[in-house]
This record gives sequence, structure tokens and C-alpha cells, in this order.
Amino acid sequence: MERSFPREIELLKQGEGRMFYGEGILAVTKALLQSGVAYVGGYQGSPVSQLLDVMVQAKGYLDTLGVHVEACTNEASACAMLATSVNYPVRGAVTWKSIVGTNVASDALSNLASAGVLGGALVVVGEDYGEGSSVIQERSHAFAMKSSLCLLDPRPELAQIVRIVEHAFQLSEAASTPVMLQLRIRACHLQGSFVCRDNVAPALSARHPTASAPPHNPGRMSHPPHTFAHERQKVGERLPAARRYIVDHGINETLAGDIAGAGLIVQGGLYNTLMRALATADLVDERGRSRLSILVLNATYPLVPEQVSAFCADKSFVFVLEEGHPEFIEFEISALLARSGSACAVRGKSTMACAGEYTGEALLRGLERFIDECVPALSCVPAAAWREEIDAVRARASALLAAPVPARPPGFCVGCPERPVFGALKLVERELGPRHVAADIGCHSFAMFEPFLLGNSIMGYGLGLASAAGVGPMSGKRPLAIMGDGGFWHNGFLSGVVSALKNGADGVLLIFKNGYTSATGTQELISTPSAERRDEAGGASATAGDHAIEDVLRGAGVKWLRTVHSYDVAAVKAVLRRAFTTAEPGLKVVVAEGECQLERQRRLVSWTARRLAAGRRVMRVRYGIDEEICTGDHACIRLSGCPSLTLRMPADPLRVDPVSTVDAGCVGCGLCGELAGAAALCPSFYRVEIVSAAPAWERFIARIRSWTVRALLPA
Amino acid sequence: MNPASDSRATAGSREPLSLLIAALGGQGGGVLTDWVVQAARADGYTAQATSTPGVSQRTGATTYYVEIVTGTDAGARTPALALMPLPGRVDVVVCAELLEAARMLERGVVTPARTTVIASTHRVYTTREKMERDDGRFDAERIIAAVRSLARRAVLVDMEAVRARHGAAISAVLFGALAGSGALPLSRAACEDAIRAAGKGVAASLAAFGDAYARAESPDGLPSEDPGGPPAPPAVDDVPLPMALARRIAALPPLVCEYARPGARRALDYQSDRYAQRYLDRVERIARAKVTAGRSPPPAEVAREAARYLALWMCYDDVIRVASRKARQSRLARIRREVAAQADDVVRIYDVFRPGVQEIAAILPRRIGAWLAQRERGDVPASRGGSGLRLQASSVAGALVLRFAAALRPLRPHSLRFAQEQAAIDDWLGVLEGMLAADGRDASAAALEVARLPRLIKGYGDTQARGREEFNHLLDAGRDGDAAGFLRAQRARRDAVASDCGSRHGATHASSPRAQPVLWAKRPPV
Repeated sequence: MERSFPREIELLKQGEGRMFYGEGILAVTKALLQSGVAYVGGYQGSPVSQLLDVMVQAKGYLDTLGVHVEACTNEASACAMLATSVNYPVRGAVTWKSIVGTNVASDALSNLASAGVLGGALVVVGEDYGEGSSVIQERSHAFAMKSSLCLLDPRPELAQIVRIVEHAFQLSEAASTPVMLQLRIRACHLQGSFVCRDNVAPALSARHPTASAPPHNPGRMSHPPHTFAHERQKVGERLPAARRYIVDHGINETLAGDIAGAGLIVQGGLYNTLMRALATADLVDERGRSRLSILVLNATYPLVPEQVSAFCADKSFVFVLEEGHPEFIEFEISALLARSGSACAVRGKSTMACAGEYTGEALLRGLERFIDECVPALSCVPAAAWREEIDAVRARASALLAAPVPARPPGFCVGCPERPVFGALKLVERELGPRHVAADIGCHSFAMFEPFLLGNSIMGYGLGLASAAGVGPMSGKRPLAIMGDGGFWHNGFLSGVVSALKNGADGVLLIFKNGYTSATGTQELISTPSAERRDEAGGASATAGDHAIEDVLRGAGVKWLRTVHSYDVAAVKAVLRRAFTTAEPGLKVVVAEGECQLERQRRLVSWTARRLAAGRRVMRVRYGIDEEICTGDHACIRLSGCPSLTLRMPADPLRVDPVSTVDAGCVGCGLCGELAGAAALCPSFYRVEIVSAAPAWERFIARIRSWTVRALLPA
Repeated sequence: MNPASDSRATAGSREPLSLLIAALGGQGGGVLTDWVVQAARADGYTAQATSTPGVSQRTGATTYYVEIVTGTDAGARTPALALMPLPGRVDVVVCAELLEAARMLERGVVTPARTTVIASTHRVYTTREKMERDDGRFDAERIIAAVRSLARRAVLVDMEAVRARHGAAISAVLFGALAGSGALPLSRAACEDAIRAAGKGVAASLAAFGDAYARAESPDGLPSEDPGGPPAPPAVDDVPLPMALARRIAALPPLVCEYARPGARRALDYQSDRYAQRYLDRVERIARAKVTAGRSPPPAEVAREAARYLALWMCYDDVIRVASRKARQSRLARIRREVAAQADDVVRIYDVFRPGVQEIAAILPRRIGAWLAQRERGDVPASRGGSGLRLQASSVAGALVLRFAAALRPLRPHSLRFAQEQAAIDDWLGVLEGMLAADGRDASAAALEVARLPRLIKGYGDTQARGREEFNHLLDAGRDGDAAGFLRAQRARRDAVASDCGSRHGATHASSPRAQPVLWAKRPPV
């Protein structure tokens, strides 16, 4: 794993009255333990990876509580775990990145919601939306509505988030309904504080197992005829119970302001940003309270019609601030006000931008329009002045900078084993021409950016090969499908490989065997090299010895299978070329093996220190470029894009363009040398081997050689 | 800008102070954020921080945001702290790299009324900037000027150089500059305690912190340090020029001398005294070319540029030059320094060569070379397989091979490529003369551009071939003093480059299609 969490684990152990200082997602983790959760599962992904990572590393402590933790293969298997709470009175929680994880989990989620739960079941979703997001922009809200789940969207303040998590389990039990807790990216990474309570060891758990199987109750199974009853229960019993709980326990908050006639209804998660926008528009009083009344929806589904009607009763206009498209809450409020014959008019997306994150700026611009149209008694001068100031500042900045600032998208790390494979692919493209590349989710998606600019579609995690199924038969050239080992185990083996074999597809699949789910923080896979193997590998790639992926592929019936070390550019090139051109029909799989450089470097630091301390020989490798020989055409950069391969101005006054240079960040992966050979680049590259603590004989020979060479060469 | 007394933040305000940190994934922005929050809490303030790392952790641009409340009124609600910056309401922007500062300006978060900018002046180039064939770097001076113009106060220091001096992470330098600037009311003791509490590399971090603290204390920040990295070695050995050459150079217009002097030295070092004389013959030919009157830019400027590119072109890269540059004691010593090898370390240096048939043919005598080159031309792409030759320059055998190759220098004037390059150079100079003699407003501008045209020729293999193709295309457009035609062709090339930027780096004018092998793959039975 990329990070270790000793400090965080200590925070989880804190008891009653102690102060917790830490991130939002860790606060949720602590709240789960305070709620007496008996099992936790999930699938990693920003922004909720940490919940599961910390839990996995805290196994020792969790065993003492009897909490079972499972790092699941995908979100569907995580969600299916919640079935435990269908038959047993135990609380469970799972987590994943949404919208994508919710999509994967949705089959299990529907079945779970239909059956209903006995013990509290909580799904913590990281709403990966807006700045910093790495997925498609959709809302988890739709899933809550279609499956009749309760959806909580707490005000982003740690004490409030913890309070809402604890309520979530009670709400789930009161309404026999799974609850979804939605946290935006910034709320997950929010550094704040709250006062702890003691952790609760679950009554029924891994430590205190049940002696008997539950009685057979077909009403708890999602199968006709019971599914028809489930639907009636959702509408007739569960949602009404949820609404009662929401009102009785003050989940939503009404904040009264002094301005009559208009109010704001906001998702809890947007509350803080809204307050900043209101303050800038001069709409808060001297005690920091909003002058417009606000209904804060910490529970965004189901809404409580009576609560909304009561809030709107004395108002002519209500402004619904709801992030993302479509505007489900606004539609629902409009409908329920219309049904009740209310005179209150609803503003929302008509006044705000329809798409995109509700930043402070977006809210402020929207508020100005709302006030202008609906509350003419109020001044919108402060908001307008702010807007004009910012527009002017931006215009000045653009004029001063003269050109748009180049984007800096994420890219492959220094020494990443995926870079050489894409470099090789570019070289093969030069010979055979471009072909359709069905890309996938993972670090390898970065090949879509400079310098590789490769890929034609992304259909989801592990779906690279499946997304090429229709392309192959209509392409003159075999398409290339890409998959990481993370995607392969997440579902790619079944959805891609098995499907291609079953249909006799003719195509090429490239699998990156890096050993971890690297993009999400190098969590472990079934094919991750064992600790012993990593220790033995030392400076070498530890993934070479694991054959889980190859074994599975062979077992399923893949005939054409080649594993190649990813840093050997010439070999990768030859294998890809062969896969593209061989007359052999069927699926051709190329496994590019090379351990994730982040993990290798983490290991190397302590390995090198240990060896040097013991006085044992250690060799490190660096690459360099002779400035006078580099022609400054940057062809090497166009094939590599390594962060440590960069530019500098040569000392030669005659030269005009910057030359390439290798900075101190080089980890000596060898790609520069490989490319210089395979792509016929300029001969300016050199490889340096630095041997520390060399044995006496090696140093002796080196000294003799050095004297001779010095005698041979001019100064 | 503002006096120092005015720029130090004071505690006690109920409106939160806001801090935005812009960094690259992996630069330690998260560590810096943690330090700021801890120091603020230790000083008795309420602090909240958040971020959006995600996949941008993998070398992408990312931001961290902190709000600090320094005072609360009795009876007031604890203010709701925002999770994202609102332009116009940001007090401090800390940038771990210069382009990220430009990005913050572009986003409008830096306002003259409010924002202190603390930025490192060093650059980490984006891939887009690096991959351009010429020079795609964003203008750093422009960014610095823009920051100074838009910020309420700017503290600009090369934090990478400070970091390197102390062997610390850049986050410690940024933290020191932030604390020293006084833009946030953080006590130095609280900041240093936060660093100590982190428990890793404490001594180095504290040293870097202290260094940056002192720099930022001065009201406008100190001028930036020299850019990092060891000074590059002089390109041409500093031998005095022979008298005959020096006299000829002195007779040239002063503007032209600027490049003619290093140019002649380069030609001398590359081949011989005679070759340097030939270089000066050509420079004089342009410097004294017949020109139409009243030109702007003046002809001397054209001659100066021609002298520069002529020197570079005449000293083209071949196996002999590469070997002679590589086979030097000073080089081996420089590399040892670069990789920070200890005295006891054994260092081995391997050069990666891949002399293709074309490169070998280039240094062979004309006839044999031409025959070999002809034999190899055709269906073999320039970039076909093979992993190249690794030669250990630090070994006896390697040094001997390099010395042997360098010793082929006297044979160079008889080689195939030498003849080809001299002919091409004279052709170019002819076109340049034509342009200088031509009439019209365009001709002056076109002459300067023709003088700079050899910039297109560089690299090896495909890159070299593509550059030559473009060069010849433009040169042909400028024959017979056709200034308008030349400029039109050049504009078309620029447009092609611009439209090509977002897609693939391929040919930049309508080049003739190259041969592509056709491969047949059998379809599986349906």
C-alpha cells in the first residue's frame, strides 16, 4: 500500500471525551466503530480509499473488537456483503467511489434494497464530482431514488458528519432500509476535529459468532412473489418510517433569517460554500447568521413533504441549490408544492448553471440573479461589485500572461513500467500505422495525454477488451485493448477475456502486470507479490515471479500468450508487432510485466539502507545526457514523457533551443537507454552505474582501469 | 509594494484567513497543509483544511485549501469554514512551482487588494511544453511580471535551489517562506514544532525552513536565486583563436562578431583551421552581400543569425564528433560529480550508441558511402528494431574505440555527408543572398527568417528526415527572392504546427505520403 497509517490507527482507538483531529473520511471510519459496526467492506478509489486502507491496516485492533474487514474484488462483491444485515441484527458498512462504484454495485444494491434490512446497513460513497474528479460526472442521487434508499448528504463539518453516521444506522434500522452516505471529495479530505465517544464492540460478531442459522424467511429473499410485496413495503412502510425518523431526530436543519418572502433550500454538503457566498454578498448578520432562511437537507432522499411545505408556507420564492444534473430535488419540491396548491415559486437550475460544480463563485453568481429577480427589496450591489472585480482581475491576468497556461494533467510517475510499453507502442505505430486502441481505467489511462495521445474509448474499469468486441470485426487492423491487473481482477477477466474466448474473437489484449491497483494507492491484489518475494527481489521487479494472471488465462483457454518485461522496449515492440501481424486466429494476450515503481522505490529505500549499514555492495543506476551532443529536437521526450527527463538551456551561446536533460529524480529505470536504441535517437544518452561499498577487488580493478583510461583520453 | 508593517497579518479577526496552496502531485502539498493546520491550532486558532488530490497525485496539478479563524466574538456561531477558495477572498497563495502561480492568476484567485503570493520561481515543465520540437516553454519572465503586478505582495524565491542546498523537501521551504512573510499570524515556534512533530528529516527541514524564513521576512522578498543545477561546461574549449582568424572576425560588423567568434572557434575545434577559414568566408559572403537600401531589420542582424546557424550546421553531428566529445577525461569527471558519487564508489559509464547504416555511410568516402546508403534505402524504416550498442566509455576497450572514431577526423572532408552538407549549405546561402537583394517590404523580414531556417534541421532518423523535408519545402518557396511566397509557406507551416499540437506530432506541412507496409491478418472462421 502506498501509505501506512500508524497515527490514524491510534486515532481510531480514542475513547470518550478525547479530541479527534484528522480527515473527514477517517472521522467516518471512527464513527462506524462508535456505532458498533460488525463488518466493513469496500473497494478502493479516491476519495474514500483511506477508509478501507486504514481498516485493513488496523486488523489487529479490529480483531479485538470483533469487526470483520474485507477488501473486496469489486463494488458488487462489497455491496453483496451487506446481505449480512438482511438476516442478522448486525450493523455493517461498505464503501466505494461513486458514481462508478455504485454503477458496479447496483445489481446487489437493488436486491438489498428490495429485501430490506434487519441490522443497520450503510454505504459510504465518495461523490467523485467536480474539481479533482477522475470519473464521469453523474449523481448518486438517482440510485437512492430508484432503489428507495435513504440518502444522507451532511454539512461538511466533522462533528456533524459523525453525528449523521451514527443516525444513519438507526435510520436504517427504523426504516428497514439501507442508507447511503454521500461525501464530496473535499469533505473526505477535510481536516477538522470532533469529540470522540467510546467504540462499541458488536454483540454478534467474529468474536461472538451465532450458534445457529437464521430461520428460513422467504420474505427476506428478493424473488417473486416477495418482490411485489417489497415494492409495496417500500412505499407504504419503509419510506414513511424514514421520513418520521428524519423529522423526529432533526436530521434536516431549518435556520431562520430576518428577510421574509424568500428562502433557500440547500444540500447539506453545499452549506459551507453557500455561507461563504452569502457573506460575500453581505447577506449574513453580525453574528454570522444568514439573513435569508435556509432549509439544510442533510437527508436529501426521501424528502419530507410536510417539512418542505412548512418551510415554504410564508415565502413567495424558494431557491433550491442542488449540485449536478438532473435536478431531482427541485423537481420533487416543485411537484409537491404544486400538489399542495402552494403559492411559493421555485427557482433553481433556471437561475444557476445547469451543469458543473457549485463552487463559491457559481453560488454567488446565482444568488445575485436570484436576489435581482425575486427579492428586489435586497441590494445585490455587493455581489455585483464582487463579480465585476473578479471579471476584471481575470481579464488582466489573461492579458499579462498573454497565452493560456498549459494544462498539467496527471501522468506516469518517474520510472513507471507502463511508459516504456506505450513508447514501444508508438514505435510499432510508426511501422504499422495507427490502430484502434480500446483504453481502460487505471494509471494507463494517462496514455491519452501528451506525449502518447493514445486511446479511442474508455468504457469503465476492466472493460477495455469488452469495449473492443464490436470494433474488431469491422476493423482492417486488429484493435488493441488495454487492461491493468487491477481492472483484470475487478471484472476484466470475465467481461473481456472469457467473452472474447467464448465468441472466438480475434484481437489483442495488453495487460499491465504491475502487481497492485496503483492508481488508487497501490492496494493489494490476488496477484500481488508476497512479502517474501518482494524482499528477495531487492532492486529487481518483484512481479516477475507471480503467474496468477497467466495461469488463469491459460486455464480459460488463451492459446497465444506472451509475457514480456516492460522495460525491454525492443522485446515489447517485437511482441506487439507479432501479436498484430500473426496469422494465428483468436485472442492474443501480451502481459507486460514490471512492478509499480512507487512500490519498488518504497522497498528500495529500506533495502538499500539495510545493505549499506551491513557494508554490502549496492549499485544504483542513473541516466544522463551529454549536452553538447543532444540535438535539442526533444524526440526522446515525445516517446517518454518521464518527469525526470526535462529541459535546460545549453551553455553554448550559439544554441537556440533548450536541450534535454535528466534531473536528479531519475531512478535509473533504463527507458532512456532502451529508447535511444530502439527508436534510433541521438547518441547523447549515457547510463551510469554507481557501486557503493564495492568489494576490494572491484575497487582495485576500477582504479587500474581509471588510470589507463585517463592516459588514453585527452583532457 | 506595501510596507512590511502593513503586510503582517494580525490575529483577532472573525473573518477567516484563507490560504490556497498550488502544487504538483508528489511535491508534499499535503505535508505543508498539515503543518499549517497544526501550527495554527498550536497558536490557539481554529483551522480547517481540505484538498482534491485523487489521481492528480500522479504528477498532475493540484490544490490544497486552508482557512484559519483567529478570533471569535462571544455568542457568535463558529463561522462555517469554506471548503474551496472564493476568488477575491484569498489572503495567501503559495505556489510550489512557477507555472502553477500563473494558473492561480488565470483562475482569478490572486487579487491586488488582498492576496500575498509566495511562489517558487523554478520551473517543472509540463509535457506539452517539453515535447515541442523547438522551444515550447511558457515565458517565465512574463509569469513573474504578472505575479508582481497582480499580487498585493509577492515573495518570489527559487525554492528548489534552497531545498537542494539543505537536502530537504520543498514543502519545508514553502512553509518557511509562508511563516517568514508574516502573511498568516503563525508563530515561528509553532511552525517549527509542527515540523518536529512530523519526525522525519527534521534537521534538514528546519534548516530549509529557517533559510526561507529569513528570505521572506524582507518586505518584497529577495530576488530569486540563480537557477538550480550545476553550471554547464563550456561548449568549446577556451583556446585562443589563431591570429589570422581573429583579424578576420574583428573586421566584421560588431553585431555579427557576437556569433562569428564562437562560430569560428567551433569550426576550428570541429575540423581544422582551413575549415574555420571556410566558415568565415561564408559569413563574409552574407555580411557583405549586396542589399537593397533602408531595410529593417538591418542586414547585420540577418548576418548575425546566419553566422549562428551556419556554425551549427557546418559542425553537424556525426560519429566522429560524437566520439570526440565523449572521449574526454573532463567528461568522465563531470559525470562523477553529477551523480554525486563518493570517492570510494566505483562508477561505470555506458554510452548508448546506435550507429545505423546511414550514420556509418555518412563518414565513409563518398563513393562507398553513396553505394551503401543507396543499398539500404527504401523499404526499411529508419526506426526499425535493435536495441543499440552499449559502449563502456569508462573501460579501456571503450576508450580505445572512442579514440579511434575521433581520430577519423582528417578523413571527414572526403566523406559522403560532408559533401552533401556543404552543397546544402551553399544552396541555403544562395537563397539567403537572393532574399537580401530582393526589393519590397516583405524581403527584409523574409531574409531574417531564411537565415534562421536551419533551426528545422536537427535530430536523428525520422525527426531529421522530417525536418529536412520541411526545410527544403520552405527553401524552395523562397527561391529567386520570392519573399511573399516564402512568408506564405512559413505561415502555413506555423498554422499546421498549431493545429497539430493537440493531436499527433506528425508532418507539419502537406508532405508526401510515406510508404506503409500492408499486412494481412487472417480472420477467424465466422
